[in-house]
Amino acid sequence: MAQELDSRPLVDLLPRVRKWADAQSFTQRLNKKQPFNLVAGAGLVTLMLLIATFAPLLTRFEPDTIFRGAQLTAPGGQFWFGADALGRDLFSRVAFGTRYALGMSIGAMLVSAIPGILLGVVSGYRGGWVDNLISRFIEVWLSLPGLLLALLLIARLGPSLTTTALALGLSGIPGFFRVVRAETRSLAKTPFIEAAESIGARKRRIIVCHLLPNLSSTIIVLCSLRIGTYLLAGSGLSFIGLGAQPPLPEWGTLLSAGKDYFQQAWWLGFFPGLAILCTVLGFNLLGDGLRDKFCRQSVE
Amino acid sequence: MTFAKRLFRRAAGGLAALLVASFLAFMILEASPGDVTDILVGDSATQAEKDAVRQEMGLDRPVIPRYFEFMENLLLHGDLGRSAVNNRPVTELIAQRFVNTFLLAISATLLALVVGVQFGLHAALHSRTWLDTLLSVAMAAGLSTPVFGLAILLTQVFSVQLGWLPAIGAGSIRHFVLPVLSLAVPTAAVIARLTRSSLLETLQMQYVTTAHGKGVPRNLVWRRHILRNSLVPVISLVGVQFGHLLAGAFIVETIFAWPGLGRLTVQAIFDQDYPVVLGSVILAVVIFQVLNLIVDLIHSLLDPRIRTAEA
Repeated sequence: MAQELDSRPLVDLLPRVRKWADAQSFTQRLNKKQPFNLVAGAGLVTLMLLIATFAPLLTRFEPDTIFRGAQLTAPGGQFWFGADALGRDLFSRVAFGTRYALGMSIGAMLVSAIPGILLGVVSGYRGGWVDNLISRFIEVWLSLPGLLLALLLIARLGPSLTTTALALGLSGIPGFFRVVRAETRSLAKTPFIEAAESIGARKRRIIVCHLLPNLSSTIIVLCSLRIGTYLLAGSGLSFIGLGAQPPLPEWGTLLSAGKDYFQQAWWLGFFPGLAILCTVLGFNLLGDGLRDKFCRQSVE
Repeated sequence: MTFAKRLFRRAAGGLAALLVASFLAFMILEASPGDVTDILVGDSATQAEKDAVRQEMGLDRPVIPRYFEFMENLLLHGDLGRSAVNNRPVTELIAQRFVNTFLLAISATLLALVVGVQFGLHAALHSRTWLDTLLSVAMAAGLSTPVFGLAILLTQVFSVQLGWLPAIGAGSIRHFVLPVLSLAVPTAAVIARLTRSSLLETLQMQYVTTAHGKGVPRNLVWRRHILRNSLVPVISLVGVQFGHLLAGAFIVETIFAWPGLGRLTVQAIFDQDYPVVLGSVILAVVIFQVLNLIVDLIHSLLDPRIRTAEA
């Protein structure tokens, strides 16, 4: 019994040993089998990022080159995903479309994440009248819920891919704000923040060095899920003509152009649709997987 | 806090949100360069002709007085102005379309509620089995499927190939099936996920173990303790989703040429018919606020903790 009690603090007295033990367990953790959704999500997202980056190397033709006589060619050796009604290579258009899709959804995510996170941390940590003021401001934002604010902005600015990204991003600020504010409030009550305060750390230092790093897992999960949401909404808007405009090879626009030829040329709708499904699924699975792994409480 | 006081406070909050929303919407649409007269008179019109139209429509006056006039007409006379395209009263246009949207949204919500809760329930009951995995994959797929892709697929299969159902339009019960299905799939997926996680959380609670331990019959434990507690968040989610379907079904309505509010809004955006856009957005905000109020009241009826807590 006595021996057992003695052996415990020994490990604590040897920080180097502990550090070594931690490093061991970290590699062990990496080698351990990861949950399916995390692996599948990370795989799909990486694949899409690679396609977006290396689109010119992967494709044999320019996305806008028109091949006479190739109209509505079925998928095959020449055109991997077939050709569209004008004779353009669909594989190339879908591959380059990855850039627009990811650019739009990641751009929209940044537009809502940066102000949402900053306002949320400040509001949650400072409390008092600052919190009151910012929260009222966000409530004003929320009075136009869902896509209504985005629709109004698109109506005013005219439909384009940039407008869509901006409009979706702006209407998503309250979502980030609320999650980050709630997380910050519960973090601010923990002893290590109190300790930092008591040794005289400035508020800005506490926010930057203590709160934000501890919020990072929540924020990453939220960002991943949001990219999926924005991609769905953005390509939906493009599909009905309120987003990217043809001839831009955005997936929603491609699908919209393909729907009229569904009977003769199923591939025109199928491949862009599959691309959207895979990308959104990837970000959703990645977000879920990271949440299950790292987050104390549920996000959204 | 009494029930009436709570009702009053929430209603006042909703009214304030409506005022703020209408102001924001008005400012976004009206207080910026370029206006509706450019479309009305066409490109060939001279500046003098444009000015004449502007004066006739009152657009030459500053925006703030115009906003107050707009609100006065809206609140005192229930008047939202006239469409810039066909000069019909906006209230008439949106009232006509609202009924169609409402029917679509309520059918989709009910279908999604039934399917979603069933899926979530079975996934939670058979947690960590093949059924749970299967249902979770189905939920993830439902959440990630673009609604317009699904709509095209359904149209192809059921109207073009099989010829069972009409592809577009409204008028009979058969016109409902495809739009309702397209809207219900993602909604059901969201509901199922929340039902599953909420149930799993409740099943771990100590009061459930206690109830089982003290010999409460199984079905009573489920009815009184498990379902009642775990379905509270689901109900507020259903309310929010219903609101989104009422205000945000414009993609599905456009695809199926459904004569609803969403399609009207999209068409009005294309025509730059700002009075109609403004009117339908304000109607959507009203619907949202009313739904929020109803959900909140149901919530407080189901959960005594909310009733007694300070709002």
